[in-house]
Amino acid sequence: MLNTFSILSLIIAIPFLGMLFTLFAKESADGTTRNVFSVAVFAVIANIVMILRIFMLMEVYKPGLQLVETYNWMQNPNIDIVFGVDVLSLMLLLAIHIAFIIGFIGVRDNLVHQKSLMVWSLLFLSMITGFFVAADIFSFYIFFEAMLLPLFMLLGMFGDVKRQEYVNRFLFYNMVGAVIFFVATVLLFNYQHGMLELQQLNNMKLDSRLEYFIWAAIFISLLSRIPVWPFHYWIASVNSSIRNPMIFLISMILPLTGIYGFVRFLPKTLPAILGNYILILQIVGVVTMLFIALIGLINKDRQYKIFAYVTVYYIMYMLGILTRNEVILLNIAFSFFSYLIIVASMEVFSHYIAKEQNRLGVMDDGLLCTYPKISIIYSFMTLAAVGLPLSSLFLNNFLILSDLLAINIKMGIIMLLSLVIVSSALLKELFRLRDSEKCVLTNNGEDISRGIFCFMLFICFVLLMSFIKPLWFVIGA
Amino acid sequence: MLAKIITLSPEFFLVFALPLMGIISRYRSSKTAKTFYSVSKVALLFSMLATIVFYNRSPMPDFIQNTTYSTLYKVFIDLLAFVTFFLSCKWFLNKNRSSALYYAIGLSLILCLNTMISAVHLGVLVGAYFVASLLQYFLLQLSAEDYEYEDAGKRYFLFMFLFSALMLIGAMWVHAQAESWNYNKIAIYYAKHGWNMKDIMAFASIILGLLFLLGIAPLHFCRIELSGVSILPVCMLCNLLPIVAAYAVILKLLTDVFVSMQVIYLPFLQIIAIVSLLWGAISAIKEDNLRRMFGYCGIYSLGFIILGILPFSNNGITSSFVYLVSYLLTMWGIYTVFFAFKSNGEYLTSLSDISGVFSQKPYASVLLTVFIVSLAGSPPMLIFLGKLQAVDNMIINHAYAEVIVAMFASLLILNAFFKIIRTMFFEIRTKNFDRADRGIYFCLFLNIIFFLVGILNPALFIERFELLLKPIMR
Amino acid sequence: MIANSVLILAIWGALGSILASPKSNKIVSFLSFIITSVMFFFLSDNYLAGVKQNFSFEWLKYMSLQVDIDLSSTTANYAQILPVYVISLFSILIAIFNTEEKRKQRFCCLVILNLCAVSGAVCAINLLQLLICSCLITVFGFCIIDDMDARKKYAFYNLLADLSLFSVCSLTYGYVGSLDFKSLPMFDKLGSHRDLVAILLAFSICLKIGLFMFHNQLYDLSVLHFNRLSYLLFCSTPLAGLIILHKFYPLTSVSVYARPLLEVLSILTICCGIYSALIIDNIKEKAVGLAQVLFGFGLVSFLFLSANFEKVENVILLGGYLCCLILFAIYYASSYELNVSKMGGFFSGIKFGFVLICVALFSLLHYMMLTFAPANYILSIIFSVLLILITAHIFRQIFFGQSHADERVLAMLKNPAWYLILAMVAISFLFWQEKYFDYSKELMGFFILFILLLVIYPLRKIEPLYNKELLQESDVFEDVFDFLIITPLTILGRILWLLVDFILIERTIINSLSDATGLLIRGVSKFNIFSSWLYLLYVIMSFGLIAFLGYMGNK
Repeated sequence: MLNTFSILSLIIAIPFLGMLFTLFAKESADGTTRNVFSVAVFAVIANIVMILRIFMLMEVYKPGLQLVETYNWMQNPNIDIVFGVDVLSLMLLLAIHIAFIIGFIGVRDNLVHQKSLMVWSLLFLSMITGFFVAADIFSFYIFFEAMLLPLFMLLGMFGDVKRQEYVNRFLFYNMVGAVIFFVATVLLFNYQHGMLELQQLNNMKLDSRLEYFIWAAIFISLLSRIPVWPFHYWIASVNSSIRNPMIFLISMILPLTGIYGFVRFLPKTLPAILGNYILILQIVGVVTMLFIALIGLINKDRQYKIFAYVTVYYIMYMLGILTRNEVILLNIAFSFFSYLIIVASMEVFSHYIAKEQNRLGVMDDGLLCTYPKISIIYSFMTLAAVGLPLSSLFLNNFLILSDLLAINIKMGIIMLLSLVIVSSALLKELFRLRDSEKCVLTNNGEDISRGIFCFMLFICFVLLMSFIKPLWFVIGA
Repeated sequence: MLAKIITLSPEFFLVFALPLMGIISRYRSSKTAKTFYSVSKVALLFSMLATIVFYNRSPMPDFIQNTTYSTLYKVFIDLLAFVTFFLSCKWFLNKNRSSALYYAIGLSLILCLNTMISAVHLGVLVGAYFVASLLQYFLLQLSAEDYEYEDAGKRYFLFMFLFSALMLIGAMWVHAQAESWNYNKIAIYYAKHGWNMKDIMAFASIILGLLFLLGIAPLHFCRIELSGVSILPVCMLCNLLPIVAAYAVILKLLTDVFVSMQVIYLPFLQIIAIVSLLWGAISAIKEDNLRRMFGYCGIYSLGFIILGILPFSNNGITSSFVYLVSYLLTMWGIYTVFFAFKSNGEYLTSLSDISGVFSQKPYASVLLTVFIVSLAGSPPMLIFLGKLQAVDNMIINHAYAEVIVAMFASLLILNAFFKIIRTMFFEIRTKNFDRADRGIYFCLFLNIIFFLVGILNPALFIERFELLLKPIMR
Repeated sequence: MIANSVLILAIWGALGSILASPKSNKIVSFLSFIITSVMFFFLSDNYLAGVKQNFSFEWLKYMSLQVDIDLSSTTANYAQILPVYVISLFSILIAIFNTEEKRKQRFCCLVILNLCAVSGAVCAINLLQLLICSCLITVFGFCIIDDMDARKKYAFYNLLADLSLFSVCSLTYGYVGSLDFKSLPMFDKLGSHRDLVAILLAFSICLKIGLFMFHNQLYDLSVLHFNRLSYLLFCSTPLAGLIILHKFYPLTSVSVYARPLLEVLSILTICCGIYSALIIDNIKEKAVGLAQVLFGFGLVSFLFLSANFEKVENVILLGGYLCCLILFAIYYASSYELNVSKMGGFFSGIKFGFVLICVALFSLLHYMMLTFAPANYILSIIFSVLLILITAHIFRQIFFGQSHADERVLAMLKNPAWYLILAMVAISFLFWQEKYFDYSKELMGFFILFILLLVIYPLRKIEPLYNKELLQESDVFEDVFDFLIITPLTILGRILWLLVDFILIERTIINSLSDATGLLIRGVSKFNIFSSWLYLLYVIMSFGLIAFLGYMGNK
């Protein structure tokens, strides 16, 4: 029997240890980095096993955080590091880990700074795992900020030629968010005279000025991670510059932290003071959705289309979370699970196509005809992404949207319109890639290996199963 | 008498090392930097042990008094000096230069700084201050072969002399008023009789001299200027050790001696802390000389330390000390990395020199990044605690404007930090870097161990610091 | 029974399509045919015997959502599913023996999977099951289409349709709080935004069926093989549209706009279908036109006259499919000649075929009368006359018109393939299963009219329109949509990007912040000059500050 006391710490520690092992792993004499890659993949798989074990240990539908671990970091000032999980955080963690494995597939042949890529990716994974299990305001803030460094390093080292400029933007927006969050944390800490668990936020009674400021700070800092106007700009510019699927994936996961922040911070019954914020946020959110969706439609860059898709969905989830409906939260968790895996797969294979296109020196129109295995996976993922009943995205989005439409029809309609536009953009791209008339058949095209194809089929199976029953892998759920 | 002499052994060990080094220098044929380092090492070690053993014994209680407070700072200075000497030895060996003078002056400087910390007599303080400043000037002379330091040296000498003179005048005025040089008596006098403008000017003369030694804005000029024109061992020694001593003395004077002048020095410190934060942060962005850049970062950090300590609450004192210790640990790490960054035997100073260093020195680059992250006050590094306390203090005092300025400064300084990281990691390597000595990596490893312990169990340090800092707590 | 058949067919279809290979092409297709036939016979047996079986699988049981998968075998469900089985069976049969069909196994398995999805949709008693099945039908249809251009339009239209349906279901569920179709009438009381819901529903139905204005997607399918085209026209998304209309029928009355909209578009669809059947040269597009006409007839009778849905569905599906088979038979006989303008004088070559086609046509007319006449006799006559008018016009051109065909085509004229004959005969036979002599007079009249029309050829003047390229190639609605929706959206996207991203954020905010930081740095660097006088100034300023604070403190 595993000791539940330390299991949450363990899932933070495993990627971190993996990072250390990767750091000291010897590269082969021929310059290949198979060792480094294997260590990294092993670390992520080990963590997936642990996460599945946690699912077994907890009561999945019990409300509130479970398996809570408390670690007294210091006594003066009194700061406890508290960890805890619920279905939402675990589903997100599982999806992120699977997405990482998919991302690793995309970079397995990378030879430039492979070690650095693995090291920083695992560090990021460790930090984001910590973030999702954080149950107190300090550990939340610590991981909220700590994950920026690995991402900064990854963006800087693997970005495009204009990376300096983009990385500056990334830094600017995120550090502004982190600094504001820090002030809010200190304010809360000061107000509470010490330690503050996230669950306690629901019961806190703040004076009106402080409440106003704290919520403003929390909203701004969390929004700085989410591609809502005007914060979308850094993500848009960074993502359009990234040509490495792993980094794209990681930068795509970052907004999730903002969304998750809302889940953890917003009280179950929203204070009256938040009414204005939420109204503004709803307006800004739907306008951004439509705006990004439209740009995604006109932009010829596949990367931007995926970004637009990701953005529209993130904002939809954010607006869903603002309803503070427990059921919606659960559906968002289930939906996120598929969403992250789908985005990861699409990005990895989109990158593969781009790489092959560069290698062969041909246009990418109809290129998928040469790669039947990729074609199958990419088509499946695109169709699942546009909302066909191939993953949990379908059913759970249905519930989220039915609530949102009932709450605010105008918002819901714009949201639906945005979904249609981004879905059309993705479909259009798929058709362009599969256009048999423009297909340049070549014998030099290297399709993915049988092993990877089987793995991706397994991922498709996982997605399909998530449609049938999101928690199918949990016995007795 | 014997007991008093034995109690003075920390000072004696340091003093005895000086003639010994002179003799070695004069008569021993096979003398290298290692030889002098060994002598200094032994002297420092014994001095440190003796300091710990006689932590509450005072040989001349009217002049110097040892308490847990002074012992903490002195041991800290000794430890930093120990590391500096160790790394400097590598530098001198690499350059194949005589290090006798460096170690001798270094030991003397430690002696003076320790004296300043233990002093309870204004005259002793001013005297030790003057000698320490002068010794720093002499240390600068060692840079003659590598840098054109003359102008900077002259300016330093001028201002060092000016501040020493001002301190002397201030101390004499205080003595004239209180009819005593002793801290306690001065404190009692001012508590009883209050103060006038002349007293304020005397206080200003003393405190500004010490702030000059501390190197806080706007009195940071010489420290920054000299950072760019001094050799690495000197730079490290002069940028780490005096800060500890100056901080200890300022804290002691403000909490024990001039406590009745709080109404003046609290806003004053608040203003210069804010100025330091902004000045350090903005200047660091533009700077291309690495040592100066970290000098500005030091000013920024001192701003936070001062903000954290106000208004001298027990929590503030502890957390500021934690900040100071973490800052110095970080700077130790950063200077150690500087010792590792050399190309064709030359130690690199410019930011452009370390372009793409990551590709050849990955571990050193990663560690420098860790130190930079720590300096930025990012959690879970210990500096974060100091930053937290500083902001908490401001919030308690409803100084929200200051919070905004501090946060703005912390955003600005990040530009400088990330500039370094960008250069190291993202740019193309232009130089071939020499293989670094194993000792340097050992030193870095040691530093990281401290870091890790600090992160995982900060209470281990903090609780002990609290105990040792009790003499100045209320 | 339906549940069993769905399960067996789904497993077979899934395995067959995953393991499709050229080696097993024919054998798997043949086995697919056998399995589907067996299922069909069991189902029809049960239908005729009136066997009823309830089957409900508890799929999701959340606090928020309880969804059961219902595959109950009821008479109504049998009646709706069986025509689809018939079409599927003949499509598989044709695919097996038609040499033009290359990927037989894949097609057959997709047909089987689609059959399962249709069964699911027909049996659905909750919104989600229908929505899922509708999406699945879209996916299988998408896979059956083996042309990229056709796929594009199909996918976009159906994506819009499914998302509209999705919104309708979401809104309905949001307000009513139940997924059950039985609760739909409650929406009128509990729900709001009724107009929106009803219009979205109508929009979804129009897109799915391919009603007037949204019919381009169907015409684009004419590049496919005739068999695939016929199957898709009657067993894929248009059928899903019909089922949606049937299931959501109560919702069409919550708004005053929805039903009139559907009614008007149904009538216009008939007109559009007649136009295409008469004017368009391409025989496959004529088939699409005929399909539109039949869908129009069915919808008009269902919407205006509340005709029995199962019968209407039979007319549309089997009747439409029969029309397609007729044209397919001609197409086959003419060695795959696509343009009617290049046919003519085929009667001498395929007399038997012509007779068979006429029999099939009159079987359809008979069944149309049976279906529509009880609701409205006049309308049924009008529908029949219209169908006769179209078919007579086409047959006159093909069989008795002046020959424009190649000598090669004329020489190779042959009677339809046996599988086409079998299909036509079988479907015609189905139409004569009940009430043989109820409308014999009318049929006689129709026959005379048909002969007269063949002889007189009243619409001969429109024959030259085959040569008008503008009419043959024009895609008016696509241009209209492009002009009214796509182009404005694209322009809006560009403007927004330029205004918001580039000018406001990049040029204004980011640059201003950079400039401000630069200004700060330049300002401070002026104070970082190494000068003794400047240092002295700092010292004096520090003294001054303490003095000032001292002065203020003293005060």
